[in-house]
Amino acid sequence: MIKKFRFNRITVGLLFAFASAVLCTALTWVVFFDKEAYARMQVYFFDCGVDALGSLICAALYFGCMNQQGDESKAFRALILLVSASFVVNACMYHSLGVPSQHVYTFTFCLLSKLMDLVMIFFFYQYVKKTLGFGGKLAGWADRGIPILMALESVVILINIFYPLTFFIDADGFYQATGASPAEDVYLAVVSLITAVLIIRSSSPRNQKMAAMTFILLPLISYALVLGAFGSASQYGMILMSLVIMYCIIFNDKSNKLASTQTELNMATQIQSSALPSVFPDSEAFDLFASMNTAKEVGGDFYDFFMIDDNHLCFLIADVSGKGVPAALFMMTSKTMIKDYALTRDNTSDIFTEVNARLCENNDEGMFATAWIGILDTRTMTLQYTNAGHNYPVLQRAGHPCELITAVHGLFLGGMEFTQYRQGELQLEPGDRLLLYTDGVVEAHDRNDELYGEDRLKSMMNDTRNLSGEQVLERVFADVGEYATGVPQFDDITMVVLTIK
Amino acid sequence: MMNIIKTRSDGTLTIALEGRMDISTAPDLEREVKGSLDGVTELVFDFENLAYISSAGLRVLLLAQKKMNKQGTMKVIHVNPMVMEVFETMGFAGIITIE
Repeated sequence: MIKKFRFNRITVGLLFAFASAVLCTALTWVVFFDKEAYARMQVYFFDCGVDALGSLICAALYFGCMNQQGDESKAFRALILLVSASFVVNACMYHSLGVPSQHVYTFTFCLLSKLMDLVMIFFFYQYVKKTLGFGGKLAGWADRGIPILMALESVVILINIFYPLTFFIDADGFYQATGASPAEDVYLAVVSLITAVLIIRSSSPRNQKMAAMTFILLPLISYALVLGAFGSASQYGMILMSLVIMYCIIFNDKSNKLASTQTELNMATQIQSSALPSVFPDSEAFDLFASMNTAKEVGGDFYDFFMIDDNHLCFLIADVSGKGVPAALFMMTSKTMIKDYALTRDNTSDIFTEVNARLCENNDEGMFATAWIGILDTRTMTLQYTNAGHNYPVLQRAGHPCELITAVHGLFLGGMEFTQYRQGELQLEPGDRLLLYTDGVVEAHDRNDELYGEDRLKSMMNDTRNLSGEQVLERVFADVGEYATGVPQFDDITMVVLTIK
Repeated sequence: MMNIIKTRSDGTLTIALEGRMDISTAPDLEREVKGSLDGVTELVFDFENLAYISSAGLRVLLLAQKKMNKQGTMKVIHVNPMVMEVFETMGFAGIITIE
């Protein structure tokens, strides 16, 4: 519902920007076909052209930053829309300028344009405040003072409706400023000055400060160049140019940030994959192989294996809730902890009970991991194991169809602090095979949302009985990929296979 | 896609979920859980129209359970067999009330 509303508001903004552009262009175009208007407006033809072009650029700018999130983008979009509306009002004003019978229109458009200038500098202040982050006493005063000044200035301008205080439209339909017209610029000058000081004092990067300053300096320069002559389109042109500069800076900054984030993510992936053992034990008694394919840059799955002593192989698999960097951080913590405890405890239930208690400390984010751990005595081939809420491993007894080891010995790790884990035991024989996997395998889905499932996995195992562990994992991964053709890989796919020789 | 429908009567907040709760939709519920549980003494999740739940979704349920442990009760109703299987596989059935 909220999403829909926002979508609508942004679309309305875009339509507004485009409508302004079309209207401005049309107003300029009309002059070509209207000889009388052409003769009258010749002087302002350049200004009209700037209006039309300016409103077109506004529409393009708006379109360009439509998908940007955050308060500062909102303020920036508001600024663009206001500038584009100013172009329309200006273009309209030129059309009635110098036509005595239309002096009311001219007056209205002039008034509107002046009021919009007030709001524009206010919006600009809001925008730079949000982008550069103003602080201190001056910012506090500015926050309260600028709206009050704006209200006062509006009153000054509105008085012109009843009494020609700062400007009026003369009998020929032309704009005339009075002696008190500098009163109009007090607010503009004060707010520009305060904003400029705040910009300079803010701790933002210099290119951002300079971009923001152009909004104040460019119109000032242009004003000085034309010596305040009537026809302010050149000022709006300058304002627009400043908007374009700010837009470029925003995007430059964003893409720089994105590039450095990408580099950091690549490094995280490197660290993570190097944390998983990739040299597999060369043993007379068993064959062990593992593989991991992550769906995102950094994932939450992991496996591990190591010899506790000469006769005990510990191997495990785990799946951390969520994905991305948070999952990867939790993964590194749990992996280190499990190994630490595994090297000092001799049964799997104690390992998980201790690890779980540690993981529950300060776990405000509610991260958790499902995990399965096994310790194989390589002399007797007995396997003791504990399952903390993990997918049921597939056990393939030599000469028998596959079965699932469905015992669950407790909640996932990191769930509840005082969970006491239990363990199970299995006697393995030569030729037996055990497959551990994460839910990326069984929950891979096809286009119709049908899951890959345990049954398909078991039959795949039955078909590959005579292959090596490494080949089995390759075949299963390929089969899952084929099953989910056309659906992007959704979850990490991790597998560990143990074969007794 | 997941829709979150909330109904509140006094201290009871019922959150009905429709669709799939996975890594992309779970954050929506997390925001609700973090933001709108003030004064709630009974939290009810209605899973009648929830087709799928992933570990990211379970994490949010766990967060809600932890929060409700301090201020009242929480239960999950109308759990379909598939979601129930996920609950059972993960040992979740032992720590939350499922009706």
